[in-house]
Amino acid sequence: MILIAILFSCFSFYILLDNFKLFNNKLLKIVISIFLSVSFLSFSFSLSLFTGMNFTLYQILFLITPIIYCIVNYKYFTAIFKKVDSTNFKLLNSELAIILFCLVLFTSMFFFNSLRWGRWDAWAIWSLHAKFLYFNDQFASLFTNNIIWTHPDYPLMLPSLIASIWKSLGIISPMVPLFISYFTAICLLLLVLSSFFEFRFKTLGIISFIVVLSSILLDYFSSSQYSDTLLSVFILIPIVLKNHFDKNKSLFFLILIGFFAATNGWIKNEGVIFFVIFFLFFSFDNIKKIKNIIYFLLGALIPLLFIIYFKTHYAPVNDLVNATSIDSLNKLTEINRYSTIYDYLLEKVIYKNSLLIILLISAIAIDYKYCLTFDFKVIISLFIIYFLVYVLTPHGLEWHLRTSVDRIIHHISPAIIYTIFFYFSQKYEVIFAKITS
Amino acid sequence: MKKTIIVIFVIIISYIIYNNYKSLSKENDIDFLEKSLVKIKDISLDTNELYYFSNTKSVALYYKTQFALTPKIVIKKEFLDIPADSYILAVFDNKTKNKKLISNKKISIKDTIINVIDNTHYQVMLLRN
Repeated sequence: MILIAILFSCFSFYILLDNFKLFNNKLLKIVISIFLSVSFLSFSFSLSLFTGMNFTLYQILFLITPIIYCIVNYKYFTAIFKKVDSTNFKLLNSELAIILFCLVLFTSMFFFNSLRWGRWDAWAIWSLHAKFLYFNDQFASLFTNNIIWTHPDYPLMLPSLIASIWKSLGIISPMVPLFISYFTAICLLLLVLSSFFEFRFKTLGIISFIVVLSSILLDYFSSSQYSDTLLSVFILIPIVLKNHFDKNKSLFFLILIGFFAATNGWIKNEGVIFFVIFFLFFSFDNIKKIKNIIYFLLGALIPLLFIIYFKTHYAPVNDLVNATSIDSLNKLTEINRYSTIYDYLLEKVIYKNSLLIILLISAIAIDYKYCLTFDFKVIISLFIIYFLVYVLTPHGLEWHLRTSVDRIIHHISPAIIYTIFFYFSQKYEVIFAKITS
Repeated sequence: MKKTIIVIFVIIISYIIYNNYKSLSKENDIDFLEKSLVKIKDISLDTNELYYFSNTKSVALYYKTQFALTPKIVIKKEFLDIPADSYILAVFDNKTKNKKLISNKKISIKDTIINVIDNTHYQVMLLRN
């Protein structure tokens, strides 16, 4: 039942986006609708757990609400399936074939690298948390220091999605986290593609789509069933929306940007850092437009309330926060820590993600003003905070680096690739428009 | 033409997923352990906390045991730190040569509640100290 509810929820959000005339591109509307739907599924399912609501009642409510919305907007609902294209944007057969070939390649690599129940953190953290949520009368047992190794303080986005589908199917199946991971990665690729299509940059969209695909194929995170790919999507979405807002000044964009930026904190703790950074730069950019900041915060309200409630009522104190003391600040002056981090980053980032580095260096060499963009400032600030966490970490530095550097690169690499292509597409808009027309 | 490309795409994707679904459906260590622990999971106890001991130092086995027994809580502690009358879960990995539970102190048992023997993969026992 929950899968049908997600489908109708996607239709509803699609209609909503259509009514506000935010995008022309159907694919972009579909991708944003999917992520709005899964976010609301996660929040509403978590709310049903917090309030002790009966799951059948919850399912009925979650199903009926979007169905009613679709019935009320029946005219718009039927329009979804009509083949109307007011923008005259069409893909050539060869372009469509390239995109679908890439998706076939990605699918085969994804399933080839996948494991039943996923890699270590998938079953030891994310699916384990989902199992606790599956037993809704006992889900609170998760939040104990007796099993602190599973990080019970981690937010509930991915576990709640898995658990809600498990409960609806009535079976704890390893295929659910597997397919959630698969669709997340596919949607990440389609988000990049459709964002450029919205600006009518076909060739550039396909190139950036292939570059992002190559970068995520090179690491195994998309098939690991961790929540890192979900985080990288949610880091990318507000950046994409912000760029579209700069072209179309609809205030509804700001609500969406605030919502998606804040939802990052519901996926992983690193997402909270992203939200704070994003909010600070956004506020700074809109210092004279208080209305924009208010709309942004309005969108961020629901996710923030959930995060605050979860952190104050359920989650134990985070291990990093718990073990960090004033003495930890002494680590800031230990030069050897910086050199260890530098060496590790050199190995992991430069040698293992050379594509990303070549792209970044080329972009800065061609036009250093890329570094002054809002997007770059947000991403680089996030990276600097990650760096400082390593400097101050109460855990063994080498262990911490070994277990997480790959992930943080995975969080930001799609956003870096997208923003580089986007920056140059805007800078050389006339040239790219000629190429792609 | 576009429709043909899309149909071919859907057929290839379905084939890839179907082919991999078969291999991903094969049970692994976690499933074997879940099967061995199913009786213990279903038993109703006056607490949801079990203290874990094993014949192997493998952290993975401990984590997998917790995964299999959720929503029960599986705790790893030294025997002397365990409260009296607690439930002890002994998990024996049959692939390991060592047949004794690893503990700094001798584990004294008052009662054996369940003993599940699976000669292929694991033997599990629910005990009371």
